[in-house]
Amino acid sequence: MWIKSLANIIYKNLKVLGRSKFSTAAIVLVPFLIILFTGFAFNSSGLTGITIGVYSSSYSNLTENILTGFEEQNFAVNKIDSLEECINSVKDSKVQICIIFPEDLSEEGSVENVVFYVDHSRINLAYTLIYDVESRISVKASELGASLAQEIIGVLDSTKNSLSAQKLKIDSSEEKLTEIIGKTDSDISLSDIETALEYLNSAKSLINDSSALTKIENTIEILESLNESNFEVSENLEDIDEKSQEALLILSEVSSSLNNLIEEINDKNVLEAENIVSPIKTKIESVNVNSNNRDYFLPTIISLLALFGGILLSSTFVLKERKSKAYFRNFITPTSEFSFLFGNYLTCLIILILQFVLVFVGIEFILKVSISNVLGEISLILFVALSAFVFIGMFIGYLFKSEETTIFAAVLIAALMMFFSNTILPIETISNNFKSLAIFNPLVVCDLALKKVVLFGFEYSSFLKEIYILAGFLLVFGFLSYLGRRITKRML
Amino acid sequence: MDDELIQFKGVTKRFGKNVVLNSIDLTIPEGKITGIIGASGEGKSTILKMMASFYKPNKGKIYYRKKNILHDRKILSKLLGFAIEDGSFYEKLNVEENLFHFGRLYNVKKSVLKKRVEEIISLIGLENAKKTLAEDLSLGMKKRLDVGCSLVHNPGILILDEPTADLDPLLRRQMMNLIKQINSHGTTVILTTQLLEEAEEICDRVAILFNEKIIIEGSPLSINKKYDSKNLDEVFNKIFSRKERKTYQESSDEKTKLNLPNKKLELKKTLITDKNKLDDLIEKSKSRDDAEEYLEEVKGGKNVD
Repeated sequence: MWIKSLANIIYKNLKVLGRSKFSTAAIVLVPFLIILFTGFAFNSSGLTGITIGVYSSSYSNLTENILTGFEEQNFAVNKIDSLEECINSVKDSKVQICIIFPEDLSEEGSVENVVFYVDHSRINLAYTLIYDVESRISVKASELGASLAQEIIGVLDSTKNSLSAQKLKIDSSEEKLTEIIGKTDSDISLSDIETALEYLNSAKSLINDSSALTKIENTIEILESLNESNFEVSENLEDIDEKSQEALLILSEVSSSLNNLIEEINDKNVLEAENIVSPIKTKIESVNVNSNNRDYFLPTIISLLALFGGILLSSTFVLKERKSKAYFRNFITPTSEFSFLFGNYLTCLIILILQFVLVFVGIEFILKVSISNVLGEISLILFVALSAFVFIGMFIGYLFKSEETTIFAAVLIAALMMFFSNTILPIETISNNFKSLAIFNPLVVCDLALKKVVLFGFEYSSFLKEIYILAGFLLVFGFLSYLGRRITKRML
Repeated sequence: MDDELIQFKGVTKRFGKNVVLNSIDLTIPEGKITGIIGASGEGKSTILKMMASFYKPNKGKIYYRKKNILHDRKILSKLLGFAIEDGSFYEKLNVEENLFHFGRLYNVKKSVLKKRVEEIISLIGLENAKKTLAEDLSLGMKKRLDVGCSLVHNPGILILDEPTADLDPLLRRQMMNLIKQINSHGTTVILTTQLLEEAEEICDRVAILFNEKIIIEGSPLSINKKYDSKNLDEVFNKIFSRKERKTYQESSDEKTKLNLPNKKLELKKTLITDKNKLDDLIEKSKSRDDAEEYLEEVKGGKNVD
């Protein structure tokens, strides 16, 4: 029985819901569209549409080579004239990262680091981007390191080959020298022997004693024999001389070859192991000075509060007004549409301003984050952003008839804006087509303007573009709300 | 007095495919109380809301002092006070605040408005409840507050849609006295009602809406005379007996539909005298096999369950 009742209740509920065709379509279709949009939008790998700001006092060949590599990876490279301008471009979100290349960056490495300047308030982008850019530079560094190592290995290899050849030559010289040593064992002087023979032959004529003569003759015989041997020695000496010449030549060659090796090694400037392992050293710097994570997220949190507060408050406010018993009487009064519209807008704005006064008091006095010095700039940005969000919410309020659908649509649209902002994933992860729309997302624009003011202390002129975009939304949705009110004013 | 304060000429109004009013002609004289009488759903409120430009006619023209109000909504908006059946005010504002709010919307000067609000509170008899939130008022008080809100800018024309509906006899009497009092100050009153006796008593002029058309308009006396009747009740009986009408009840329930060939006129009559009772009876008859007899008994005044 109770199942029957239950089925009846469900049937009735669905039927009642189905009677509001537009609302039902919204409830059923909007999540589907969101999945579809986000699915298509985030269907990309890595980062898209990144602009890299680069600065170097002198762009070396290697630097140019690295920049070409970035361009080949679909990163836009923007050469900036000064370091300060480059850093400001990051703060201004004109570029997503600023890379400072040392002027002496060469294949052999550099004394100075390649410095990356990133905006840490966009923490989800900063690390991805650093990783991406650094890995590309690392690839280049690895190539250079490998090349340097290869050259050194080449030198070592040729040294090894050369030394082997020299060793053979030295061995040969050693042999020759050994032979020389063998041949120079005799210390007899040939000229002395000949002189001695001359003396003995002269003395023989003077000596009559036969025994003495015999002895002299024997001596002469010995000396003649020695003299004959001396001829052999003489011949050996010639040989020694020749071999010595050869040995000298070999040694000269060895010396020359070693000199070549020394020169070759001397040619290699990279003699530090660190330069071979990491020829390009990098360093990461933040463009946000003296800021912590809380400060980084403050502009985003303020923007989100403005978005959800503005859209939800104004949409429910409009619907409440439309559903009010007093709606008919309001309608028949001679009060203009514009007065009602503007009255509702200002009411929402006043409530939201009160909200934000409290928020700022909390930020200044409880969180102890000083914003008083930029309160004027923040107020201007929030005024325009809140106005835009309020009119978007009012338009939603006029578009739908039922409360549940209005709240559902308002939450979904606010969530959609959040998905297509930097809050969850950086918009650089969105595919190009969707990204070109996402950069005009009022949440993104408001967040960017607030960051410029809160984190970087920029002046009015720097966020004028954002103000114009938000003002554009304000006007467009203000007009759409006016139209919505006119069109739906008789639809109760 | 200009006899042709507001004029409808050949006005047709459709909601989707449903024709509610078909080329009606109607004249509202100035300074009088004009009643538009007809069954529920006949289009009485639609006529009133067209005067206030809340609805635009699909065809025809509406004139105020011979000026086409469709060209300029503001012609009538300042001159018009409108009290709808369900009331139109802010439940979360008190009586005084509601009157002030709508007075400001009609651009009544603050100094004038203060006095005016006091007068109206006195006129509608809510002196003791002027600080009470509208949501906390009784039904009769809410009706009076709504009339008060309609009068805050001192309009020349007061439109009252079913001003006495859902009120008990005492409150109904109070409301009728209030309307007479307002009219006595020269305010033209246009009202709708389903109660013939009430219309006869209060209205200087009556227009009878039947089958999407105004079938007759004039003073109750002249209408009675024309139909040779003693009162409007009799006039209605004659009208219904002469004319065939499409099935009133658009229910798919065949019993309800078919059991009304002759009975429908009686039903129509019952409807005009007590709409709620009729709806209740039709609803009850749907579940009965003897629907026709049941309705016959009802007509005969038998106490049936």
